[in-house]
Amino acid sequence: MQVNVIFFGVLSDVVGKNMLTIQDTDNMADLKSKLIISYPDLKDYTFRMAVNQQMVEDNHLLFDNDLVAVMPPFAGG
Amino acid sequence: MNLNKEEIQYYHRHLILSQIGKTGQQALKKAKVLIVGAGGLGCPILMYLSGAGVGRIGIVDPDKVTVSNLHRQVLYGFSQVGEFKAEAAVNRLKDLNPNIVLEAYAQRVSPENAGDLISQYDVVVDATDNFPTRYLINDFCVYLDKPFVSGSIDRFQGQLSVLNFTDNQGKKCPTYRCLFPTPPAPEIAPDCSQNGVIGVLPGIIGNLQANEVIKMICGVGEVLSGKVLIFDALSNQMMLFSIQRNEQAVQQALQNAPDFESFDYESFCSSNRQKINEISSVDLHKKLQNNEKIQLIDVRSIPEFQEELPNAVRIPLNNLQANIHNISKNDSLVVFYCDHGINSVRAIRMLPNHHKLKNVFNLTGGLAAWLKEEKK
Repeated sequence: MQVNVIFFGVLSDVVGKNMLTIQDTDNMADLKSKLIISYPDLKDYTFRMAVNQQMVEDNHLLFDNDLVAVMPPFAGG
Repeated sequence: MNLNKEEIQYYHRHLILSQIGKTGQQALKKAKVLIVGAGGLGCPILMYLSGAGVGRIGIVDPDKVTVSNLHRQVLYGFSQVGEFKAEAAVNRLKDLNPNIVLEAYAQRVSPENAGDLISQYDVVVDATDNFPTRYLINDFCVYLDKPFVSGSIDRFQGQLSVLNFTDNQGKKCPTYRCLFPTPPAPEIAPDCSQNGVIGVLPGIIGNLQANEVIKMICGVGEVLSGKVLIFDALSNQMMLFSIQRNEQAVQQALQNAPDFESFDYESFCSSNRQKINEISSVDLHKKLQNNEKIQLIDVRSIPEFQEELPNAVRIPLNNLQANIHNISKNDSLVVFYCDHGINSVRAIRMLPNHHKLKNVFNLTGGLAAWLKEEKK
């Protein structure tokens, strides 16, 4: 199974793209660690993650084709 | 709160809307709104809330208008460069709508003054450009039980949410700390002066904030509470994400009350990172005058200020890795600087460990602070 992950703000620079697909993951904690292994700089950033447009915590379960959004707080005004 | 003849004429297009009408317009006239930040977001918020007839508007901003503000802060013009934004805004807005009361506070919102300021208003609008102030506004609004409309921008994207709102069933809605319990380190979340921003973006997000204020006051439509909206100007995508109130995060805000004055929001927003040595413009100036051996590293790629420090080595941030060998290990002091002192902190954090010497310093406030000091 796979999930699509979209990145907002500075995180799309850290990852180098706006969207990517991650295979074989079934919960948020696992997805997060997979992302940090591929993009180690991510661990320096503050961000929240949403699944299908609902903000969730690390224990949330993932299903095939879920849309995960990763967003940092924005500073500018 | 009745409307006079002149007001009936001024607000005619509102009055004929069934959703606003006389009742809504009177509610707007009665309302008191505090706008914190009169920059990119603040300008459209101020213009449209003044036009909408919010009866009392407070404007808090310690900054003065600069030329590099004008491309997005369209409330001001060249003739206001150098004036306090709060005062320049009041002068312009008085002309836009003489029927309302405008109050300028040309000062930084701080734990010392936030309680007095916020308690005088019904709704707060967070249009600031930094995290310490965002957390401070959140904590005071939670403590004083005021809803606030939070907006923020990053290059081509904006974030928006109505926070600490109490819905018509009396239910308390999420706060900023429910959305982001921990603040990011300042150098990884730079503001528009470091990262750039497309001028129309704060116009769009600021107007959405003003719209939420009007909806809240008039009790129309669906207030953007319990949700965060993200807008992307490049793709025209608008996405809504639902958020939950997190009582633990709310308690964090209240923990600082009522002794807010002893809570240091600046260090709260940088506490989870290794400390970087800072040097002030005054101290650097003294050292240079005493001919101390100092290597100055300018990390700007497209400088905002044309001036540069004497004998500085120019290594733009994006070329830093390739040019590390140009950074001296022998000088008694290596001082990194940029326009505002934020990208230079990022540069110092990028140094490999053997370069993280005790003698590496960041010029606090960057060239902006240096040039201000020189003028004195």
